[in-house]
Amino acid sequence: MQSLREALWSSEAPEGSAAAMERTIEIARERVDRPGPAPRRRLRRRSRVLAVVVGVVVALLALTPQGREAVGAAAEQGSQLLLGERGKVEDPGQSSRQKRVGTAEVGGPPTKGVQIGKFAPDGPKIVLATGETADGVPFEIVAYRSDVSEAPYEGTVCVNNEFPTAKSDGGSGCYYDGALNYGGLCCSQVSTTPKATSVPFIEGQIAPRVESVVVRYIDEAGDQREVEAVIGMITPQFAARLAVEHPSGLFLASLPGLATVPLGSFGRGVAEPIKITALTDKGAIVETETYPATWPRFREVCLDSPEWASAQGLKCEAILSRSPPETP
Amino acid sequence: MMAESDAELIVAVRAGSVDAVATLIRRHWGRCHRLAYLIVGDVAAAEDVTQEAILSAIHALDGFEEGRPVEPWLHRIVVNEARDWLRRQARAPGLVADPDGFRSLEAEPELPDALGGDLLDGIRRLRPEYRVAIVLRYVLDYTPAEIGQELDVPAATVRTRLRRALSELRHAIEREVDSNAVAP
Repeated sequence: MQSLREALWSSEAPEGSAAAMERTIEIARERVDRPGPAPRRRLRRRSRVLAVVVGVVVALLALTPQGREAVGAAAEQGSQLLLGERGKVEDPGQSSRQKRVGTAEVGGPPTKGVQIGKFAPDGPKIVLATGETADGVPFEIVAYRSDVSEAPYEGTVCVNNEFPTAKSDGGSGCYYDGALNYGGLCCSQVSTTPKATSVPFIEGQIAPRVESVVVRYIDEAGDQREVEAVIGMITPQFAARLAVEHPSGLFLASLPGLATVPLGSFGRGVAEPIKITALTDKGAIVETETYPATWPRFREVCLDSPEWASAQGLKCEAILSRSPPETP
Repeated sequence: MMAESDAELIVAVRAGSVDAVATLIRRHWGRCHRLAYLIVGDVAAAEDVTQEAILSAIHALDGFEEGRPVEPWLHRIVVNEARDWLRRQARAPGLVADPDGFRSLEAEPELPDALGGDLLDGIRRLRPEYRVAIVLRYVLDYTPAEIGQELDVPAATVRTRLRRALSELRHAIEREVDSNAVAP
């Protein structure tokens, strides 16, 4: 009888092919003999090109009135940038679940009941979930249906986080009802310098079938970290009370130690891309978003429109002195 | 002639010896590939993971602490690369990029059939985090606490994952493994 350890070491798992090993040796020899870019870097260069393309698009957007408004709004919200990239699907890996502790009861009214912008409530506000940031600040994920009737905002559902014990009102926003028909995860945003908590956090909208969200990020030490977000979902029961036809939800995760970069009057930008994975109750992946590093986009703005960037308080000299991060 | 130790080879690699790096890779390739294979469940993917891990390790050799055992360090890099690979796959947990990857082993001419498909099939069906936990615990001999530290989860979570993983593996391994030897 053999132990599992012996079985795993001695079972059929084949050795990699000799050709693969020799290829590796060849690359390694090149590196040892001639340090510098190696074949493995090709993929990363491609990613960098993609990042630059994305940056240029965003830079162009920032030069339109709507774009400037968006960037300005981001600055007001403490570097929140609504620039989630949808599409890729990944494995969740491991994560540490954050605490679910709050002040209000789930299903009951929120402690504060903050109104998001012009979206006044048309009916009750319901606490979908409660939680606590990594530095111990409680928050409540709250949903309500807005009374806005003009297109394209009619039927808008607001799902936001509130910090009941802090002066700050929190963040997130309102979404079009049924906006998640396309998938499971949308519009992640990062608060790098939130007022209510000393710890950056990420939040975003999720579809009803999403049961958990795992966030993977790089901290200031360059280490990879993973956390599981707190989920607030408009369940069918809540949907009936809110008169919401197409439910959705919100995730929120504290990101202690998140690597950020100073962006002048824009606060701080995310230094490395953040990966967000939404999963079903059975652990199947619904969708993954990549929240890109934000400061390289400002780099493009600095390059393309230095005068405008300067007028916005961007520290272009400092920004341009950094090398763009490599997208994993 | 005495074979050079890993430490001696690393010194030589740092000094620019291409022969030393080849020796080092040949020495560790097999076990690294096995580790990668157990986690990703695909021969070709395991080769990619192994290559990435070894090249990463060589890239990081300048910062490698002298006197530190090479193999555990290398294996840890392999596990991390394998985990990254799993994350990159557009597949639900529990599947691998090539679902037939394990079965394709039947075509490998040098494979013994001691534990055969039972154990490997069982591992293939595990969720990725369970596979990682199993490999760290039973292949690399990490304690649950060490695994928890590595994966940034509580040791209790690790024990739970191991229990569930072993439970799922039970049917596959009960014929081969003494249950006392696999209890976490």
